[in-house]
Amino acid sequence: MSCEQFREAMSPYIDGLLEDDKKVLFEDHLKSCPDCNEEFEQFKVIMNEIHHLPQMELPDYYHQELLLKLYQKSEEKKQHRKGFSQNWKVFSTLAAGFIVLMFVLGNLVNMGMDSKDFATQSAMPNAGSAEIYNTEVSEEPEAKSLALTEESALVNEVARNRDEFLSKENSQSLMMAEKNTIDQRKIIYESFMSIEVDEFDDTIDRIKEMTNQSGGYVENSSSYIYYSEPERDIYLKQGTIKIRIPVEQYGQIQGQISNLGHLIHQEETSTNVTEEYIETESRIRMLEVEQERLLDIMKQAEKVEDLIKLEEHLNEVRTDLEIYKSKIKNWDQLVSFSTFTIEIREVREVEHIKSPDPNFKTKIQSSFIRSLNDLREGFERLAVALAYGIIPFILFICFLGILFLLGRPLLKKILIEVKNWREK
Amino acid sequence: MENKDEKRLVNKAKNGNIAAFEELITAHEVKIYNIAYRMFHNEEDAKDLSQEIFIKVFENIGKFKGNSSFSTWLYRIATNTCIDELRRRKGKETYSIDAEVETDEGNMKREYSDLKPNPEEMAINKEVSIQIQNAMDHLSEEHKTAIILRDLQGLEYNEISEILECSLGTVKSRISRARRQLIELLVKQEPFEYKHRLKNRKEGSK
Repeated sequence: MSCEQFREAMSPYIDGLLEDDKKVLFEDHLKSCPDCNEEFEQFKVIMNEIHHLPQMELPDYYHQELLLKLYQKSEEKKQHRKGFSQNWKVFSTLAAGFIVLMFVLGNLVNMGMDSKDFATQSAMPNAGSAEIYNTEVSEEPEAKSLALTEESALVNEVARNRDEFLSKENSQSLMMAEKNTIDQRKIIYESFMSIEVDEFDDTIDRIKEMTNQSGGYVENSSSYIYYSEPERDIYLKQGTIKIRIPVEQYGQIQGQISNLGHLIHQEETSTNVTEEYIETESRIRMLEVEQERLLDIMKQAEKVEDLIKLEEHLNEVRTDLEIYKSKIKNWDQLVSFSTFTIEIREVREVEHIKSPDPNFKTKIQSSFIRSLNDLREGFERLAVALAYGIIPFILFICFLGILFLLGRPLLKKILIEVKNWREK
Repeated sequence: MENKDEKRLVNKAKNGNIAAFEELITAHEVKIYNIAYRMFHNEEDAKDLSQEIFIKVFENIGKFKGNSSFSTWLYRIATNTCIDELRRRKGKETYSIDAEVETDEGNMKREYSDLKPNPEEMAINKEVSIQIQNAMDHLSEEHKTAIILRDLQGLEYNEISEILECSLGTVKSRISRARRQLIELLVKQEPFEYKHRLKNRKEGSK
């Protein structure tokens, strides 16, 4: 083994990577060559020094700082995702609009090509109505007799369904990504029911019993006599009871309540608070980190002013923490117990003239407002639908114009012919 | 860390669970910080870079497929990030005031004269480690990485080949060359004094 080869082999030798035959050669050379021997000694010493380089300790608050950065990053990420989903919504709306436009145009072209003038003329308003249908105004397409219109409505509906499906899939996949599993979803269920019963007190008792059995509780209840006929000993009661039921029993209780009497009104709402929930959770963690850090700094603080300042800051952090924690608590409560508000009204078979519903006025008011809103919404949708339809409409007008220009000499001729024929 | 445990934590972290990610990296914080420290030779950069590495890991954990162990993957990102940053800085010559050495690439003689330790820094242990670190600052990124992973972090050759994504043979020759170069740099610094002192130290300690 030459000295150069020896130098090359020093490194694998100390790591025990030399094959046996090379190892023998290496050791032979080591014994025979004093220079190399010295160099190898030096090599070992230096390697030993390198192996014993001190390990640096982490700077103060390294971990806390890193955690804060991570939280900031994940918040940013969420924001980014939100932006993305909004963009998607806009994009999918535009895409749906485009698809609708293509179908309408396609139909118009088809009509123009293979059907007669009258078909085009009569199909036009129907194409409009099909489009209103598409934008979800609950209006059946009229004139179903026209096969062409039906077809275009169908096509539009397919497009609409697809759009819905797409956006659903979109939001779902986003939701999955953000919340990873369904069981982590935080949804608050509320239900409002209005029933008519024969025996008010009896019903209230049964609801209370039902609530206790399910492990829930009555939040509040109120009742009053809304109709009385003392001479016939008739006292009819009306009231509300609000109960909280463990969310697992929601469906069961709902069924039981509707069996208690005649269900006249029912409303359900579910509020998804998952996003806020997760955000609040991460805020809590962030604040806890900050609190920990502040406490650490306080231990080292020497000046009284510093301590006072730190104390003030710490108090702020603690107050925020309390607020967020109670928020979480409240949500947990709301999520694990769904709310039922049940309006119960006692009625008798023989109906007498009832005093007007005390809510009559407000009901009228609210329904009026609702109808106004619906109307406004309807108009908005109509405007949107018209905006969609404007291009085919313009094309149609152009088409008519061209037809008219082309057809005018012919028409004139025909008119003249007719005139002549009449004169004859 | 148990393998199964690690997998569970990785999956949680993939879903954005920061607590799980925290658990996953806590054991590695010091190691990554030390790699960055040896790469940049100052505490400020070491902190910034190592934290940047962890954030990068967090952002990209979705891409971690589990073909290698998490630590291998982490080391890979760490070394790549450090090497990229070193290369990026080369042209810019941005040196922190904290850095204990001024380098002047391209002029070897001046380089070495700059490396002479101050007479005040004669506390031997400290001096030796500073000298080694100073010499390491003059290695190429590849050689520096090899020395850090093998001799400072004490990783096995096959681990290093996984981290650097190159063959075992390449790793072997790279480590060998890196060591030789490092020693050459160290010996050239103060030819006789250094050798002599080291020998004395060695005999004294044994």
